Amino acid sequence: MISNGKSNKCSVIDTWDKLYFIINIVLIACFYTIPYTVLHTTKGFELFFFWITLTIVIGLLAVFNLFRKHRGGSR
Amino acid sequence: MKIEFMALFMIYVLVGSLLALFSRRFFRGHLGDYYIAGGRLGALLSAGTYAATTFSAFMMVGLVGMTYGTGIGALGFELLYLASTVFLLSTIGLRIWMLSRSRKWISPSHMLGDLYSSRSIATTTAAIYLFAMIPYLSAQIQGLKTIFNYGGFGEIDALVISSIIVYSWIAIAGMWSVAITDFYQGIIMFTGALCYLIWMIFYNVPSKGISYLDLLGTLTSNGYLGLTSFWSLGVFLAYTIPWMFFAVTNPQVVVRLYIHKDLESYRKSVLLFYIYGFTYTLIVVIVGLTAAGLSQLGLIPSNMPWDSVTPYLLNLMHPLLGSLIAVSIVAGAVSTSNSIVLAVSGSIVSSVHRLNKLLVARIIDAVLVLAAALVASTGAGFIVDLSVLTSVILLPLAPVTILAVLKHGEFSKYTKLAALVSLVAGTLLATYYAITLGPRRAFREMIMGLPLSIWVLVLSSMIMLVGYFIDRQLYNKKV
Repeated sequence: MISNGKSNKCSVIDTWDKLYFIINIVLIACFYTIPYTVLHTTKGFELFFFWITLTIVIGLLAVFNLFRKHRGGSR
Repeated sequence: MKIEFMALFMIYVLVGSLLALFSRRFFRGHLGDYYIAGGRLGALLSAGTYAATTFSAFMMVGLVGMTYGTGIGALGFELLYLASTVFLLSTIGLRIWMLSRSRKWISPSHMLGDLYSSRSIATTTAAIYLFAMIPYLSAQIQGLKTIFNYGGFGEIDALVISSIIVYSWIAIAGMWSVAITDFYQGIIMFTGALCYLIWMIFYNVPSKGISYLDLLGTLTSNGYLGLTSFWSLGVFLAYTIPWMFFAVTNPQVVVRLYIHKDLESYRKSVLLFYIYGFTYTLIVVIVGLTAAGLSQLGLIPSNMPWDSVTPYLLNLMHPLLGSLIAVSIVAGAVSTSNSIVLAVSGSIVSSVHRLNKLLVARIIDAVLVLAAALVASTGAGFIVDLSVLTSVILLPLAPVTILAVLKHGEFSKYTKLAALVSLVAGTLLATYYAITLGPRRAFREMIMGLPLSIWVLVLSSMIMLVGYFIDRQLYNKKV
């Protein structure tokens, strides 16, 4: 079942890809850092809204990234 | 035995079985169709099967209980999983789908074996899946036992019935029947969760004679909307790191990257999964927070084990509503279980030439279901811990998969060797601590200030990078 390991690169990593990757790493790091520093002592809805907002931002970026790539249509 | 549960359960099984039989008309009878539906699924089915496979009984049982016990930190844990999964699906996942179109993979171990041109890596990966996924599968079946117990079924009945459903919905048409029943079960899961939330907010809270402001005030004053003492940074890391890489380490979800018929289907399915996952998570966490508030007000017990919260609340509902939610939990467990079986069986079949037949695939599926049912019958473990521990054991696959997808074609013998050593070393490290400390302590315990999952990830990544850079150095010298 195992075929050979021939190279079959599917797309080129452009500047947006690199930027997108860095932005996401920063946002995911914020999932940890902000609650354990700035929001560590809050007791209200701050943490609830912070995590929800961050998830929405990451989700919207992901959707944008997916629909940005290969605008030419389906394979 | 609850008549309402019995009736709803029978309707659920009947409709699911009819859908599974209907799916046979799309099934072309070869292994590629059995394991990945020939890469011919549209966005709705792809999203439905991805969501139903990812979200198991853990959501309605484990996560509700975890939120009840530990507060809002559980939301961060689950949303971090969702955010990192969507990120991975929009990057590595997309590349995997594109490569799968030409490489015709039927399992993740097949993929790794192909990208590294190494049969040893394929076989080792299949062995790790077999070792790690049986406890996860057993946890699902064990969850089913609890829910069947609500319906008045005995332990043996529960094991036999759940094993038969899990197996038959695979055997009928492989990925086709699994995907179609997953889509159907995803709808049931969402409906059940929504009913649970509506009952909690609009019936249970008012019926206790308290206002929403009282509830919110209690949650706030008791710190349930902040980080409770449970969620130290170490514990948060321990829970989240394995789940962050779930999309590239767990075979049942990796294999779902090969099933889309075109790019449009892939894009739309990620979007639909994201919307489903986000809404479902919020619903479940709000139910858990409401239960936490009620427990702090002394209206429900405050010291229940996490996994007992949902069964306790089900017993407070009208039997028809409780049964509907119970069936939705069964759907969550069944949809995850049959996907695991199919993915692990695909890995075994693609790793061993002689097993490359449909009949053998179906026999392996049956053996896997039987093995998981036997483990479940011993009553091992606590659903949350067991599931998270599986992801820790699978963590070494994250760097191995990511490097393979990004840099394949640039590997020589040192990278291949490093991939093999990385898989074995990471898995052994996780297993060593699981055995010596026990599953629960193994992932919460800090080892030199960091959780086990970080050590596993660092060890595997370092080995991979060393092998890759040695290859690059040697290659550059030759040039």
